[in-house]
Amino acid sequence: MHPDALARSDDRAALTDALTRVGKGDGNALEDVYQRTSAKLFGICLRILETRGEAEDALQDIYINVWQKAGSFDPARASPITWLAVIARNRAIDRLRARPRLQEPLDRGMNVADTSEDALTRIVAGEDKQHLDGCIEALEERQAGAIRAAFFGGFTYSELAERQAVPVGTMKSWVRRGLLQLRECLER
Amino acid sequence: MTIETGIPENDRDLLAAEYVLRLLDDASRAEARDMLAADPAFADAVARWDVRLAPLLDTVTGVQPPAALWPRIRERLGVTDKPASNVVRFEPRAKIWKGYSAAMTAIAAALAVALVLDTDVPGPAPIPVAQPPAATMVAMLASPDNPARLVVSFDPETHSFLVTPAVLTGAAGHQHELWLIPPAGNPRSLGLVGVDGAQRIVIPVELLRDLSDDASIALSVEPVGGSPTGLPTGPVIASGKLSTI
Repeated sequence: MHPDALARSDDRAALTDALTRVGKGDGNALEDVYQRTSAKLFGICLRILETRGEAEDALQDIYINVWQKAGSFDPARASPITWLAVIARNRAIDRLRARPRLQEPLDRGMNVADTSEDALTRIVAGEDKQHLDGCIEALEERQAGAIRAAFFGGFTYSELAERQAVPVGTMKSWVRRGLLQLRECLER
Repeated sequence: MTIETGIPENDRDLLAAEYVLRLLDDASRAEARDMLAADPAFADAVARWDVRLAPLLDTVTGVQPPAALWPRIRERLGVTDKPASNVVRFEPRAKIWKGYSAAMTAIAAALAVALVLDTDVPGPAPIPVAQPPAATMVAMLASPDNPARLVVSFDPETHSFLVTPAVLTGAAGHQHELWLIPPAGNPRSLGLVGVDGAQRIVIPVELLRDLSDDASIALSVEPVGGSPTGLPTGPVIASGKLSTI
């Protein structure tokens, strides 16, 4: 096995183990999970919320949520970092959506071309990401843009439609066609 | 297919994707959330989309959070100060409340303050009927999908609930309604709850017998003035079991 791949699988195993212990109420394990993952999850909060104070509040909510939900973590269904990243995005978007949203730029989330990776990112099988990137790139630009904007910006159909000045029905059918195509591509 | 037989499987999987992406408006999102609780196949579809789309987060660069954050999280979870052994010990009570949120620390503080402040408030005269619970009962209202957190405590002296929202935000055009959910039978309205400060709700005599460790309390979002039907019509944003303390 390639040394990187070996380190990655060790990291993943250690994180899976720590998260499983958190599920049993082990506070030490929660600190371990925090040390291993807080930079990554804070990055996600900052990316979505764009202000430090809110990102810090969101990060606290996230680890509290992790403490509550770790018992339901199933390593057979998702890698530990994926599971954590999903919680982080959800809590950050909750906060974003609780904000008054008057003039948020639509390009939020649309320029996600940064390719830098930290050590933790390597825990996630890189193939998944390349596969998803490829599938998103295969979509029409307006479909890919709307999906990214929703994912990072928490925009609803009507908000996306308003910002692109198209009827809601049009936006829905763009996105739905995009999602169907994406699913088909990902299952290939 | 379990429920919503009008929706083809295909569309339901799309609905799961729309739910994950947050594309749905409030009403559709609330429906999808109800479905999530009721339909394991839909919950599976949501989990699959979560995992499918998660690689989008891979490109996000990690940023070290401030060092002060972990101690704050530890505090919110009711963890003791870090002892010299470098071991984090969680108090036993932290485990008891583990199912509830961290906001519980805040709630406990709010409750303590509310109870102290409340001693001067004259409650209604005790009503000698229906064998009300003689003990103080409490319910911690929370939900994994909503930040709302409240504590509801029953005061056997005054036959009333003290409702203390720890985290509760109002929504224009809506009000929050509190419900007693007996082990059998329909939810019974306990009245509307404001977003600020502790409120006392006197329990109608006929509901006293339903207050038990088998009952739950829930908070739903309703039109202004409360549910028009006498049953919850909007999403339940927080709930919890009543327990004798």
